[in-house]
Amino acid sequence: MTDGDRHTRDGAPGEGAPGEGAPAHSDAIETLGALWSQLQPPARGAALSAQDDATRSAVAWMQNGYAALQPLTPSTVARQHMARRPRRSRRPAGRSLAAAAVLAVLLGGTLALNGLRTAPVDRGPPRPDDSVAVAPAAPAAAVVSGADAEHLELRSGPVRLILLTNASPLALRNDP
Amino acid sequence: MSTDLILQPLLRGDPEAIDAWYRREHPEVYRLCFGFLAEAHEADDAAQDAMLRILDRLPSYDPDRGYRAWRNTVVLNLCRDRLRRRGARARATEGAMRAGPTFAQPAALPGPEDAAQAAEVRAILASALTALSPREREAFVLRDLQGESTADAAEALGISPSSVRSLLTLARRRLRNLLGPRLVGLVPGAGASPEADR
Repeated sequence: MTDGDRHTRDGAPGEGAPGEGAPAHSDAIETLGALWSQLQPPARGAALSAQDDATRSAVAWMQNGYAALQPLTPSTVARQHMARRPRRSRRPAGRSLAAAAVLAVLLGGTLALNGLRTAPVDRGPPRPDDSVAVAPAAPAAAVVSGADAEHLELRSGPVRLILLTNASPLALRNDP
Repeated sequence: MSTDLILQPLLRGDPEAIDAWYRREHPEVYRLCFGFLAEAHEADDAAQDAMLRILDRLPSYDPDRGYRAWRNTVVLNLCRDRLRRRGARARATEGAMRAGPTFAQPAALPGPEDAAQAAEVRAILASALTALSPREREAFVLRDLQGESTADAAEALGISPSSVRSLLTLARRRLRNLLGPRLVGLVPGAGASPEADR
């Protein structure tokens, strides 16, 4: 492992004095790297002995070319790209699921309540008024129940309408 | 120490272990992607996706299976998805069989160790791999280029070992016919020699 491959955490908070815990960590990483290297497969081409010379040459050229291939994007750039990209986490999925569940419960509750409200209730023999929407009776003609210089009060059954205006109430009353 | 123990720091999310792992794995994953896709730039993009996918799926990795075989399968499936999406599988099969490789013949092959000729080597590799059928290419990459055992290659490909051997025979023959005229004077593994130039 080259010096450039080594990693230290000198000065990192909570790591103790610089150089105290870092070497052990670097050693562990170095050991990891060495062990990782041991996972490499045996040398290629062992199974080609039975092939003719031309085939062996062609495959050997392919193997050498393949072994010399390097990523177009250096690993450092790729690692930075990976570091920037958020790892897939299960928490957002869980949150989304929980939110969806809550929404479903609320929606279901609302629908259930609406169902209860609109469910037919046994009120004895059906009457036409129960199932047929009845248009309200034609409102009685509005009556001016009060008027002065600044307001005008109209009354139609239980409804009162108060209009505040600077105009003369008499003028309003005469409008078509 | 087993692979499982080596992977433990990765599973814990140790950033330095991930960094070390990435530095060692990325070139190899890139080569795998290049082999399966036979296209340098897409392989570059696919390799980064593959590294992320491997890391994401590491918790589901079965230590009994062997890391390399598992990783190769993850990369293979990702590359197959890409090929399927862009329809390159059909193009690679039909186009390559009819048109053949695009590199100029019969100039001698460059030596892979020559950095100045890396781009040409890459182009020839891609052309040669494209000349193989997708199945032949997958078997050839895993067995002859990656150096996996026939059994591991068969497991990754989901076919029998005898099928892998058949595919290898076809792939090697095709490559011999394709590259043979340009290999005159080349010593296997030594790259191009001056005598190779006509």
